[in-house]
Amino acid sequence: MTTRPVNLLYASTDPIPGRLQWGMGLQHCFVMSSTLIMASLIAHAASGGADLADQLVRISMIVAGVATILQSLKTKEMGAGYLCPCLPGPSYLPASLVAAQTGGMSLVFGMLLVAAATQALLSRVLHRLRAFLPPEVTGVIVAMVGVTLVPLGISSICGLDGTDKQAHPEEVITGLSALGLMFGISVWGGARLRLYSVLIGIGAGYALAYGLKIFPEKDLSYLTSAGLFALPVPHAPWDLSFDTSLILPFVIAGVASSIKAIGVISTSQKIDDADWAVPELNSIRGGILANAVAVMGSALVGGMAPSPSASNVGLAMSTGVASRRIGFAAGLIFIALAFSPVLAAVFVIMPVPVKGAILIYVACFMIVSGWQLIMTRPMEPRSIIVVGCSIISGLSIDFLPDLYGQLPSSFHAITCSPLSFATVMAITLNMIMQIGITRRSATSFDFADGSLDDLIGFLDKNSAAWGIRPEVVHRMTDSLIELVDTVLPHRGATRLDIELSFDKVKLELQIAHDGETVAFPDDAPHLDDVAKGGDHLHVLSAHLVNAAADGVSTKQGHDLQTVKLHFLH
Amino acid sequence: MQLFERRHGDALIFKVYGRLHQKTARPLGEELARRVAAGERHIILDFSELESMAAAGLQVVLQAARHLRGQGGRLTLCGCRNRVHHVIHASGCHEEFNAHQSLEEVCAKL
Repeated sequence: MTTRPVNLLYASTDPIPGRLQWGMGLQHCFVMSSTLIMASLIAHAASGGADLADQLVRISMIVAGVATILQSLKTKEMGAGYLCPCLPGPSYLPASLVAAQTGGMSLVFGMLLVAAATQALLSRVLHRLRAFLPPEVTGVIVAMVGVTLVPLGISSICGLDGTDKQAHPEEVITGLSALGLMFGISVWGGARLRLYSVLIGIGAGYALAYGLKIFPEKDLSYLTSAGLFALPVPHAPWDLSFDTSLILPFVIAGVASSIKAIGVISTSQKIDDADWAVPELNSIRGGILANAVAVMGSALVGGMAPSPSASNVGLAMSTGVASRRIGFAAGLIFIALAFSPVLAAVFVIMPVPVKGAILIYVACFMIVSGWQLIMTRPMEPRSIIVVGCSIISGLSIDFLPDLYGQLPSSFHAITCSPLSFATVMAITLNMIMQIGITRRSATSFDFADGSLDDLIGFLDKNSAAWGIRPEVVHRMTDSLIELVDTVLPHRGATRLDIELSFDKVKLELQIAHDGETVAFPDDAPHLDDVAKGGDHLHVLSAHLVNAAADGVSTKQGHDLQTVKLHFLH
Repeated sequence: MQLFERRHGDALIFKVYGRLHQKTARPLGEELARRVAAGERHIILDFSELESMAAAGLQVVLQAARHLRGQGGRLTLCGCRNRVHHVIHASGCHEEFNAHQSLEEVCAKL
């Protein structure tokens, strides 16, 4: 069961009025367009011109739109089931640039299939990786996503991009005004206006940019010469080539994108639930698989690989509107825009200071959200080291770029960005810190003279000492009460040996008893039968144990039977 | 387990503290049967301070509700939170008892 946060207007499963759905969808599209600029970088690396960049942009919009719709699906296998708009993924850019330079677009698209396969495989084994991705690690990833937006955001607000290294006052005024308007409306705008704070800030930014004449002449010509409707034409679809020397960089890109997706989808889950503490893995698996399918599609039709956008989830968090139905609207709008060159051009020519304002706005929410994830569980020396060292490592990439440039080129895939380095450090340090982490405590209980209160006291004492979350303690205590109170006496047990073990990821309660084996049914007995009494009470009791625990296993021995209850922490 | 009682109109309200399991549910069942035999027809169980309820406690409540219904009365649950709420849902009792209400909401409808 989830607890709805007080500032959440529309949760992921809430229906939403049509006008709001499409208005919010349009707002999300502006944020989704922030990485379309990568198309020109990749086209330039492949020695292509404006035509190639235009093809890449419009096909990528279709791919990102489809990916957004896939993420909004709530099926058993595919889709996160949350509002997770997708955009051309920055995680793929370093490897894509190398592939474009060495083998052209066919090599980029061929190697993206490797990234897609990596993500698909990860989605299948994700449940085994739970111990490696506790909230401290996913929180670092989400926070670092926000931090990595800062250099680009600040420089963009000042109008600085790859070619222009000079900050001009009119660009700074445009960027700061757009950002100030977004912040101001978020705080003082009232319930209705707040929903469109980013869109209003963007609109004001465009108007200021036009009035202060900071639109480059080529951008205005691009806009005025664009037609109203034209079919997007892919660049040589199905033209794929491969290079084994690029397998590792694209595998790393797939892993980095998957880990970022874990952080983004975890944040989406947290938006819906004030008591969120543990990532729900089924929706994350579905989200990563959906992204893998979208990346494969991008490779086959000739677009940039998409990934769930942390910026858009930050927007959902800031507005309190997280209905997944907005994902369908945003996806359809983005796809439709690809068929209209002039409308697509409006997004493509977004003034650099306005892009900076969007990046800084969403970075605020991502950084704080990441810290909220990190602080989900009580901090102790192990988690402090994991969090502190991984963030320091990530930040050092930007503080000391020349230092990491001295490393062999094989390290560049990890040190190419603060996010990648922080992610690798967080996962590695967390794995190291797992050594010796399991704590154990044991006691015994005799039905003849034992006290249930003493057993509950044993659980409470160890739970407090080990920092176990209250919700897990309650479920464990209820399960033990059912077993000791009803289930095991009914099976003839006279004494119990109880062992409790905890490794910060899971809690296990192992009970060895001298009674007969116990079955734990998935379904509750009929209430009429329970009211009559007899054996049906014990069936209900065993069912409640099954319902409270995250897993129940039994083992038959010669003298003793064992019941093991698993609780995810 | 402790019981504190008060009245609201014709309804008898029992506020239950502690835990309801095999040992502690029996006195609750006996008290409810005694009150029904004495003529009570509307009993409200306020579970807002109840820490947990095991299957044995649920059975006692269910039996009392069915018995009271047979006498032309009704048993209402309210204030169910956290684990008690989960147990009521997991057992399928949420359809028998409209247990998500607070005591104030129940009393307002009287």
